Amino acid sequence: MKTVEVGGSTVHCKPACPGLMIRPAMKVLVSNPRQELEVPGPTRVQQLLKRLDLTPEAYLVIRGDELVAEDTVLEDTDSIEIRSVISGG
Amino acid sequence: MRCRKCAHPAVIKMPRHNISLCKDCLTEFVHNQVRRAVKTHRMFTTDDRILVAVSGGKDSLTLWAILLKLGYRADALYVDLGIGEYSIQSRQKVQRFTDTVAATYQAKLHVHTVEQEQGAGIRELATLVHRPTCATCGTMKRYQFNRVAVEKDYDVMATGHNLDDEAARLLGNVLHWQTDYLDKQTPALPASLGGFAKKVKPLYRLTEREIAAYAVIHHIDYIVDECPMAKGSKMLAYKHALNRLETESPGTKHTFYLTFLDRQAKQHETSGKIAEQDRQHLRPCTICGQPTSTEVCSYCQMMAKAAVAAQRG
Repeated sequence: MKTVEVGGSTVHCKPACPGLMIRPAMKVLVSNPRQELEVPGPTRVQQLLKRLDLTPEAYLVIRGDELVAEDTVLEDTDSIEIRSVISGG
Repeated sequence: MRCRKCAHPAVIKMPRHNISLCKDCLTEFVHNQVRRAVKTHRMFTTDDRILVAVSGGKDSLTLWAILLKLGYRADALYVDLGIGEYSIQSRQKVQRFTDTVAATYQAKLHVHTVEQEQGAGIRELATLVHRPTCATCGTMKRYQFNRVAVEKDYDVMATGHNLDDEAARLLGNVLHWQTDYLDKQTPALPASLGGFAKKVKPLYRLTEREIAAYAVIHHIDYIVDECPMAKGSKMLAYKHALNRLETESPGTKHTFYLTFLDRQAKQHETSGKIAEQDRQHLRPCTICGQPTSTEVCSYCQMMAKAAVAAQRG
């Protein structure tokens, strides 16, 4: 399994063949720069951001198409988008 | 986590106000902040015709959506800069919003295509005039938005600048002690003389995160990717620094910018001072007629330089 650095944290990348994974992990899409990750759950939104070393003020966490608050527990089966809200040059 | 106002499940925690809000209460909060901004700076009334500068990003499309919802007469202008796939996607987002939301309010979209009108995309123009792309883009957008607002008789031009934009700009101006720029950093600039449209920033009381949250819960489909030309910009560095401070000390951005505005208002009547200064220093550009402090405005200088460079090949 490949690993990548996001913020200051090492996270497992989506493997070439997901069927080979021993246990499922939540799919996480991070925007700007765009990255697809797999992170083991369950975990709270605030813990996920902390783990990825992302500043809470600069991101929203979206499950499916629903915005979720910081104390929401995210499960292995969830599809998560961590969306950067910073824009403009 | 429960909404502080109604106890429904919260969707966002807002440390700067020490509250968490549900979808409906966040919507009400955002609308109230815009109403307050419009009232405080006498930006416009429901009788005025507003031209919103849209880019396909969260701020400008959300601003257009809110103004229409609050009952204002708001049309929009999109400037297609010709930045490859980024411009194609952002134009599609703007067009889709126009067709699915704005059209139901009879609101209209104007489009200015730089490649078609000026003969080259913004990157090519920047190369021709040896200027950074973001600076060339800024000159182009300011010029075209003002031109269209004046030519099509809009009473006011509105942009989606938010609290983060204004706090970052203030930080940049303070770090370099650009005091001339500080005087003009206000949410409402008057139409000080003929050829200048009034310019307002109704989202200045809201953070990027609050605006993005509003866009998500109202299913506003905006371009999430950053403009490829903005990579490494100073404004982004200032925003990251301010967000680090905000996380450590909630309310930092709000206090920084809104206290600056309070002090500015106490010091002088800003719009009166700006209007007076503009009348003293500006005159019509000898080429296009738009107000400028020099004989030829920066836009016409830029286009003349580009034309010469293009002829030389």
